[in-house]
Amino acid sequence: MARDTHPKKEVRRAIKELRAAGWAIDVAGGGHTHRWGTAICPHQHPDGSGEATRCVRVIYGTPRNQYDEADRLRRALRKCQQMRTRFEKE
Amino acid sequence: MTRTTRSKYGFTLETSGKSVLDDDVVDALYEAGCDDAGIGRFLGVECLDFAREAASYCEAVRSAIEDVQAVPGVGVTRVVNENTPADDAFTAAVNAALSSPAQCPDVSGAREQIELRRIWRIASKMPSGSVSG
Repeated sequence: MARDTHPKKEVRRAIKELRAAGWAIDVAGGGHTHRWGTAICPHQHPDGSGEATRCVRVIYGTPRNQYDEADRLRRALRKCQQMRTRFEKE
Repeated sequence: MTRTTRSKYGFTLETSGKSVLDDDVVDALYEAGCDDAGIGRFLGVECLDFAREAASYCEAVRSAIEDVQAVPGVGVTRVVNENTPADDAFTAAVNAALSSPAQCPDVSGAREQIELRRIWRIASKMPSGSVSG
């Protein structure tokens, strides 16, 4: 399996959804034991202190449960979307 | 023989100290038992998003805090309950213990009190203002 393809099918599905929403997926290089990659959202969210930050989410290569990991990635996506919606309303 | 029912509980631990996004810390958290958590940063706050199997919500939270605390330099500052409103009281008590470890707060339920005391002991050993390993 190519290094830039996550080994777990359910996680691959969730990563596909993140990519479709514009998230960048940075696949880790060799030498990292457990991090497969990092997902970074495309938005700059104001954090209330004058700074703007992007959502970041580490993706494990071997999560304890691939379904839970996929759910957590989707939750990160929803959280980002909720923050975005709240910011646009203000 | 008594069987204990185990369920999966969702909650988030917000952290301070060393960045949990650092490669070394990611590996250390995984090895410490946090392979059931998503590590991330939202609005500048670093956190671990857990889906932890345990006999109760309070046991899940306590064991997760212990696992995170096992990584030197990483501290737990707050627990965010993503479970049911029934667990809000315990969550509030844990957050009180984490932010002001001078006195162990009260919570109803014998099991909850035992787990809260264990969390409070961790918090009260640490330098004031943070809970770090």
